[in-house]
Amino acid sequence: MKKGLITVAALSALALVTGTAAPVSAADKTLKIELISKGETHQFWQAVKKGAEEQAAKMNATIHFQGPAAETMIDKQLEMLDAAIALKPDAIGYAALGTTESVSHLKAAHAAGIPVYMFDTAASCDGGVPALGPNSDCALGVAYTNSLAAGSLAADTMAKLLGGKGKVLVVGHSQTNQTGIDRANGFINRMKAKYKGIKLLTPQYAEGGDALKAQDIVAAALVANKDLKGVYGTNEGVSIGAGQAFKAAKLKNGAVKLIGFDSGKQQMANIKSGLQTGAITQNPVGIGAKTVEALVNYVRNKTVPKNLIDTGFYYYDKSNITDPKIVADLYE
Amino acid sequence: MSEVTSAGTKAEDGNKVAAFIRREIGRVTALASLVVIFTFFTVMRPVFASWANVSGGILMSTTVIGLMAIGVTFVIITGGIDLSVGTSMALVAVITGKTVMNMHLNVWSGILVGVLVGTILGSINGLLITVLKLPPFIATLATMKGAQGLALITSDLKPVLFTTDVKGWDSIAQGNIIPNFPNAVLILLISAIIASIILNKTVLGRYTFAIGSNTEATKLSGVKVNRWLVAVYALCGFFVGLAAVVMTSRLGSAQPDLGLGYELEAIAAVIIGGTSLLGGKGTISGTIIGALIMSVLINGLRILELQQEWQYVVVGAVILLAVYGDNVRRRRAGETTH
Repeated sequence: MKKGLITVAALSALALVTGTAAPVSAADKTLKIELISKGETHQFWQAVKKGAEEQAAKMNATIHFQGPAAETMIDKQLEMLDAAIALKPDAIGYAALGTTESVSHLKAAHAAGIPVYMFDTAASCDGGVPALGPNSDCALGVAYTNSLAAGSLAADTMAKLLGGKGKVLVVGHSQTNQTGIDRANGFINRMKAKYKGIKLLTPQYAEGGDALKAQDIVAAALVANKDLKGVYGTNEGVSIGAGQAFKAAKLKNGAVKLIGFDSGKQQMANIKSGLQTGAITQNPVGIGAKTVEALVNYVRNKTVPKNLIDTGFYYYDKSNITDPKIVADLYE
Repeated sequence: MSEVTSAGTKAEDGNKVAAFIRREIGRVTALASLVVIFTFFTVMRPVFASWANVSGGILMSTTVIGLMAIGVTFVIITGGIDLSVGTSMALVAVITGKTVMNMHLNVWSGILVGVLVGTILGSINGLLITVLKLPPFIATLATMKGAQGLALITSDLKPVLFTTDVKGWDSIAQGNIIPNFPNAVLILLISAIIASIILNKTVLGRYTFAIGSNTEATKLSGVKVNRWLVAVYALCGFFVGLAAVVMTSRLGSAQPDLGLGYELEAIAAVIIGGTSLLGGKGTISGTIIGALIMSVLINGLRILELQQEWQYVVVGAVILLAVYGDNVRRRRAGETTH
């Protein structure tokens, strides 16, 4: 229904534009934007696409969204990026898979006069994010989730749930991937700085978000710490594993609080059933929307976007899991 | 259980006790290491030895790797290797999950689907090795990659959730037919006993050892080696299928990206248990002890809250020590380092 309306809006916008016989300036022509994502099929990317489409419809632009089948196919994605540059669109949005490999390709886009705004993950452009902008030969900026801040929100929520005291275990999903590190450290740093009553156990890692390893980790922690009050899992797999460990240990729902990350069918079912307390979700719809907004404003009005847009994140639990604002960012 | 080792029984006419020690010492030392490690952690944190930890922590975490390792034991005794067991498990899990959910199968049919798909995947390995004459390392490396991709494709990159309308799927692993004894552990125990019987009391077992000791001689004596090899890889696949069923039951879902790397843990368990990578020698009970050494160690280090990066180092060191100790002991016992 909603999608239908958007299509109608987009089509009528298109009709308006094509209807004018006079040559159109950038101010009212429909802008073509190529969006190269890290993936296409995953629900997270579908949500990014939805946000981009909605924003494009509002701003008289069209998007073409594509990404490789798996997030390991760096070459494939760079081919897509090259093909997009060759099409000479009005702008390109890019989520970096090969953060270093893509830099030369982005420079080629710049040389071709096509503005690029990055989303979700920035490429390793010279000088990093601070050097991004209209003077960069790489990209204008990046719209992404501030994972440190998201981890810190999880810490605030956990502390509130526990009344500021108790033992808490952090189970990370990666010690090497920046997102994984930030989600864990954001939580740990906040707890240490603000909540003296919370005792953090040594963080453990289920590398790659291995749900089975996460289950073993949490099972061991529950045995060794009868007074464990909370578990924080930094991704979907870890959160699932932790929930299953609670189930196997036959814990009463809510006896140990569990805050997870992202969504997915099982995690959402666990939150609804009370096995899991809640989770942090990113705002993929916002990532898509902000990227398109930044690009259209830049091309049409020469408004220079911020070189870093934090698209935000939310904590959700049983009470707001059906809130439309939250639902838009959840995926099965 | 008297498990026959093929070579090194020349001393049969000599001292029977010496022969026994020579035959059993691999497992005896592995068992001794297990006891030492277990005692160490118990002294450090008595809660380690609590039944809650032994059953829900240690034994439960041994089940998936343990089942795979049982299958891999057969393959390694033939002198082969199977690198595909980890990702095959993921593929079996996804296919089982999709089939069970879409066709509304009950638990028993679901288990059947799991072991059947596992057996088929194992047979494919066997055929690649015997018909196409590919080295096992290469053949199973290829199927490892193939299975990894297919698991992602068939799952649509999403975990397959076993919803509550499949009644009892979580009881496969987490239920208790015997009070306070998780079913998954029971499955591992029964599998080990059956595998041990197959290895020691059946034609398949006899040829498994024979092929590993001397493939050419076995062939010359009229044994259809290729057929038996396919059977061995299929049997390995069967246990991988069972591991996949237990894994999905433990998690309540099939995780398409879970399994890569598990093949190395399974192979490590087999080798720590005294099975020779060169083939011709090995026991199921040794493999189970090997798998237990790994899970006791990892569980203990977690309970002691050792930092993760150091956990890896300790595990690596123990694998080294276990296998090195085994080699030294065998050389002393006058065996060839087979």
